[in-house]
Amino acid sequence: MSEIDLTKLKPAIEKYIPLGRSGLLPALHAAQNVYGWLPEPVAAEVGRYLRVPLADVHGVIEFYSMFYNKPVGKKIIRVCTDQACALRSADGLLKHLCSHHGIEPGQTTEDLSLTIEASPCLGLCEQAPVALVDDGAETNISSDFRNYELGIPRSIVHGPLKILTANCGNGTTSLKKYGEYTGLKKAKGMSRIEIIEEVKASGLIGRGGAAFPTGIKGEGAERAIGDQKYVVCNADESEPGTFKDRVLLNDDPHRVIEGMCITAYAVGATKGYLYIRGEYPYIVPALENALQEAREAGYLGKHFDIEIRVGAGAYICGEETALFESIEGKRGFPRVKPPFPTTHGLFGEPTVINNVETLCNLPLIILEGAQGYRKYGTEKSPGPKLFCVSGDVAKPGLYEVSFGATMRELLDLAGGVANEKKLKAVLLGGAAGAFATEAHLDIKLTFEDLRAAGLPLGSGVVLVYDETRDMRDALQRIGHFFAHESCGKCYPCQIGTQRQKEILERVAEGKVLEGDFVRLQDVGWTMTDASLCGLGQTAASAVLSAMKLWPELFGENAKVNS
Amino acid sequence: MTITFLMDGKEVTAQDGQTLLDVARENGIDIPTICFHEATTANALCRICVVEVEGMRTLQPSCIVQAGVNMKVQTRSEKVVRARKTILEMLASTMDLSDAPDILTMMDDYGASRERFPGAERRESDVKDDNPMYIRDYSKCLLCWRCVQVCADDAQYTYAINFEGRGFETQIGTFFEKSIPETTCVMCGQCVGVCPTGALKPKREYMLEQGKTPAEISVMNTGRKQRKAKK
Amino acid sequence: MIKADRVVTSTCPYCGVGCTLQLHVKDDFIFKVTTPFESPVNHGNLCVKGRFGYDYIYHPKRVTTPLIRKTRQEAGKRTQAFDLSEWREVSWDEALDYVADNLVRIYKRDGSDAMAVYCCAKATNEDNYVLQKMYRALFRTNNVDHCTRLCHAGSVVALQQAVGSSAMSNTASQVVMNDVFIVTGSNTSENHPIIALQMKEAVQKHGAKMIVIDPRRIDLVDMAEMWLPLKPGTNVPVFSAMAHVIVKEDLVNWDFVKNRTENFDEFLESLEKFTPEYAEEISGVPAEDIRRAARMYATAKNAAIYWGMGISQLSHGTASAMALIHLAFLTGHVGRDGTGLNPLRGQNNVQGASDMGSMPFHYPGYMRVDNPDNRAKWENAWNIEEGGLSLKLGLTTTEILSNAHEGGIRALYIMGENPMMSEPNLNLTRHHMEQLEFIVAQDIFINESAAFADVFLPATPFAEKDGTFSNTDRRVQRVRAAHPPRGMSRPDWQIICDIALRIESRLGLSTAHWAYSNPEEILREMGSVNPDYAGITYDRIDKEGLIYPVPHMEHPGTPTLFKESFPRGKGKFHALDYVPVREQVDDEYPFILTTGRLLEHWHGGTMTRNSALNEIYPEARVEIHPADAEIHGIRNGDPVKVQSRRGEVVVRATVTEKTTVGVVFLPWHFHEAAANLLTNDVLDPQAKIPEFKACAVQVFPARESDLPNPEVVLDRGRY
Repeated sequence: MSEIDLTKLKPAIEKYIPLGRSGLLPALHAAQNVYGWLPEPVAAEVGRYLRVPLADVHGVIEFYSMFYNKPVGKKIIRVCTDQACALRSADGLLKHLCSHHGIEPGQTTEDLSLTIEASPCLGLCEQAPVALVDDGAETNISSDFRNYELGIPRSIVHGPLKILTANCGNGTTSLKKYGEYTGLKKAKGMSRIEIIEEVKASGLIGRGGAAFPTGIKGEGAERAIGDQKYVVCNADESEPGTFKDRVLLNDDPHRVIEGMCITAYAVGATKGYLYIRGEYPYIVPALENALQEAREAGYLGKHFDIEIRVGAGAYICGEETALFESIEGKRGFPRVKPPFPTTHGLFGEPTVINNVETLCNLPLIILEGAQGYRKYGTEKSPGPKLFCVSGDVAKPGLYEVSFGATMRELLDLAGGVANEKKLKAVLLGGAAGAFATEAHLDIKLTFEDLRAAGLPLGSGVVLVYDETRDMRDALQRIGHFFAHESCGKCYPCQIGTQRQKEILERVAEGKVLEGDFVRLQDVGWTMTDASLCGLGQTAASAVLSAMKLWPELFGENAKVNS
Repeated sequence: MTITFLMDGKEVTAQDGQTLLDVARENGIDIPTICFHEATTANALCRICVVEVEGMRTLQPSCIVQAGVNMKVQTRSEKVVRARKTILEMLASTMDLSDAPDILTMMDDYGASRERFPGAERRESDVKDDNPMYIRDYSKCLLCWRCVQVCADDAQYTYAINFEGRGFETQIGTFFEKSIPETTCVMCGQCVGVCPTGALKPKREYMLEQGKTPAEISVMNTGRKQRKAKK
Repeated sequence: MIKADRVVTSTCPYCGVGCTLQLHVKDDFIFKVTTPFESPVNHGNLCVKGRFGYDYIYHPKRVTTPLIRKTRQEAGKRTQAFDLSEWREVSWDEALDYVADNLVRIYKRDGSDAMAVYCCAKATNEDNYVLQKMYRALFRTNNVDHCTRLCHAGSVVALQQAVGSSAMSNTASQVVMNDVFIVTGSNTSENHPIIALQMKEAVQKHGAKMIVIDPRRIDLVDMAEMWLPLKPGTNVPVFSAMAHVIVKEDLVNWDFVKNRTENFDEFLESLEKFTPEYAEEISGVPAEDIRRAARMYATAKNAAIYWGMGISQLSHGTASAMALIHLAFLTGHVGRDGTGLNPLRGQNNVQGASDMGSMPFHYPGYMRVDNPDNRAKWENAWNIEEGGLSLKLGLTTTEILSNAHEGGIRALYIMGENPMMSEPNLNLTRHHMEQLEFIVAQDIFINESAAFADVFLPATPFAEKDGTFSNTDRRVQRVRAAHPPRGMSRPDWQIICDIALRIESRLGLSTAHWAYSNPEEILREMGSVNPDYAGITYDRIDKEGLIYPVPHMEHPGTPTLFKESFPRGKGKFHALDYVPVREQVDDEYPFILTTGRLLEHWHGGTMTRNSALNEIYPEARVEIHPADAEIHGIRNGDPVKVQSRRGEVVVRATVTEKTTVGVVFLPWHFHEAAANLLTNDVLDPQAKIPEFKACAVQVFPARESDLPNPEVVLDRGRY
């Protein structure tokens, strides 16, 4: 290996040095941009400059998929092989691409020019099959690889509502086009308590998947005592099948920023972070630009400013406390709760962390008031909702509807099952969700109705499988996904996702062993009941729902536990 | 302030701040633990100590959950037993428990089978023998985190070891797999002192197990040859 | 899994922390050491030496047979014999008779002044008590000393003069109660590792602020609020300047000064010149930092000072320590929990050895030998005729050696000490050793000093005997045998009592009583005269130690001293002046050499060079600052010669910012590169401690072939 020129390192990471440990991920990103990967001497120097113990630097590099401590190609192509893309022959695409370059998936060409990897969901499901080529999104790839779109991906947005997505579908909306932050302006004329009461009254529920009442979260943080309070936007959208936040962030960043500013004002926060997944690098320039516009307009400044933090390939960092760990420069291990983020969040201080879509609802609530907001949706699920429809539908895309629409209505909007096929299943809520069938089509897509039917709403994923699909393949991919993404902290998930994956592989190959059904139940329920965080608690959700719907797939006609 | 609540149908009392595990132990109720240690920060990651608390969706780790007024706790409900049994079976399918008699006893207690998972990938590792004081046999490591914690803020503030990999592939490691003497390790052995499974073991003990005699051990060349001088 | 035959609880033989060790034994072989998490001393933590460094007990080079030199040694022509082929294996009777015959012969011919003994800060209280008793009772001499002379003598003398005691005033674990604490002249992370952990815990978990005052950028600096890098030997100006600030800025605790101290006015007068600017000029520490540190210490609710060799091992070591004591007097940060004047005692039992009277000026319990009342007490205890014991102050270790000539010291008994590594100016020390007429070595290995001896008595290490150690906290703890002595070795106290009986019979003395059936009887005898230990029995310290003073059987021990008053009544201020280090740098010798220790090794290396510990730190290195290295063209790992007016060593250089510009550091553990060849034997006039911490040296590149072991290379990542 040739000598590494360390003189190039300091200028690249200089601005992160004052951040100390918290600057570790940004510094590693910057260093990797310079050297292409993270050789040992580089990692050591980063550790020394930031005063982070070397073993910890190593631990961080090892945790995040997008940090490499071995040489990789000048160009990296990450081909998505998750649910929606698999339905569009992603496996074949990957194979074809790899053999064309003479390597296996996960390998690098000998001349170090190219690395090809299989990737978990890239959040571009409505334009499957897709790949990430360095920082550009490659979408709608034809099977011979001749045709594709490359760069910043399109947004495919449909109604009937156009409230949250008012500015979406036409590229990034500048501040000029967005107009003034009228919601923030009105909020500044209210007291903190008044704002919080308004949000509480609106009934807004978190849109990231955990479904916590947003107003109560804000109330907790407003009351909490700390040296500094934080507002965090969770833009780590990694749930397979989800792409709504990608659209909102790229096309209407000011709506998100305004939502953060309202939150900051309401709870007394002086610093904000926008944590965006590492697989959305093409959005970052637009976000940086929007932040700059907001600063120039005076919305951001010494009183409250927002810093972008880019993830590095870890689904678990969508879990709020793991996200904090990541901003703090550590491996993304979730923390035990209590204490909760509202009192002990980022850096141990009171923090409000909200999903992108949730934040986008706030200007609306302030402007229209709780009652105005409640014009949309149902009593228990008020407001507009974005659904990510993909898979075997005629018109995959982002659909904004009022809470209360049924699954059938949504699928109709999306043109029904593609190619005149019949419906076999709908994966609701993503890999961490559950399967629904024909029998569930008339259930209203609300928190309360779905819960009553034993189904999750999650982040709004609606992934459609037609009658020709082998569900065992979908299940195997789900098993693979969770095993890959488990952080490894708690035993049920660390080992359970691995065991689940192994059994699902046998199921997919038709090589089920005696006792596998009960094994899968035991592992699944243990993860559901005993895991430390939401990842483990939902890692078996889809599998367990499939075992109820299609027990024959698992080779046994055994009774299903509950 | 005293708190009264129900544990396994019996009324028990706790002081403010006591955990369910504390209270169980005071009342002679046996709750198994693996990662928990009196002298390290409780991380509630092994989940073997989970109990069922009425009204809570998931099982709760008794090592950190504090007693609450009017709580109703079941320490051996069906869900709890299933979770403990499965966790133990998963552990047995993953790593070498031969040096962890407490856990083997637990397995018997819960009727857990060591062969529950055919075709299970195991975490295997060669014994790392890179210093004269202690060996690291990560095929016995069950990732309780204690060693990393005591090397960090729980005791030693030396930060010589951390994690490699992620998920099932997680293992304890040093910076770019440097040998222990090349790291910041001062060989205090705090990690050895808290390891529950013999994954970290004093070298001399290990040598005896390998059948070396005391006389042989006393003259042993530990393999760190005297090297050519280098710049 | 190996199941131990038994697990024996004992106390670590290395440093003054005194960690609790659980020795796991199989077939009379210790294979593992653990420690209870409930131990009040170390809370489940150990260092590499305590946890793994016991293997010297089984090293093939350990001597377990009594030996007599084959070739009769003559004064002035002594040689060292490291190899067993130069010794004759003999029976205990022959060896002990040989010792008794020769000691008695010389005593009868030349009298008390010809006799001297080095007691052992590593041996038990019981071992030391009987050895000093033997020399006082039978040879009527006070030429009794041990290595504290080379260690905390400066601190001990200053504390004696200022308060009337000589130990830590509080316990080390009270550091977690400090709001502010000063660590000075102590590389605690390497020399008292467990105390350093508690200091770090105090900072990280209890919000304490640490001020490090040290010429080296020691490990603790990373967590320190302030680091004052003073030039070696400039303690008095720096601490006196801090006192100056406290007085001038009216941060004095007048209540304490008025009620608990005396002689303030004389002190105040001498303080005038010690402005921060004056101190800055001499020490290099910015005046503003001195002010800030002084204010932090003075305004804290609970503050303490922990110090080590950097204070004591100077030709003005007494004054150094006195300057620290003044800070506590001015602010009242002594006599309460969570405060204190805390010299960290180095050896596992240096506190105990001192308590046992292994000193030329004191009987057990620090009773001065020149006081007739004290003398009478011990004559009574030892069955000696009235006026029999000597009132004459004895010689210190260095003086014993410098008086090794015709008409001076002729016979030296060395128990577990290694002056040929630990005394300053080793070339001169060697010359002195050569002049002795008779040397007895009682040890476990033939080290550099035992190699000079006429007879070698194989003693047992800590794991093969019972007794007690008194740690730096004044905590008296049990030492227990894990298995029987190996070979023919015997516990030190048994050897000594055996010799004492033989000497008595040759001298026709009535017995001072040596027929102890167990070591506890020794402790009880000592405690019957020394009130500090009066209430200590093995039963009472069976589970946990007791912190003396323990004046009676129901007393729970005394963690914090001086709550009401000082032993001498009021604390005494002293007028101080700045006395520079004796050997200043010049063109020929432009670097200051400061010496010290490493985590992995212990002192002369008798134990640790015969242990796996040597594998992880196999060679001495000189620390040199990058700026100095660059000027002299020295790269990391290059061989260099370090030379003083007295001697030289060749070692590899470690270029590091752990040392400061103009200062180089050598550890003194390695016989093949013994730092004490270079050090200056000038002594502090009161404490008689040598100036180990500062002398003038030159450093210049050498060749690989000049190194004692060129093929051995240190390769460690620790700081």
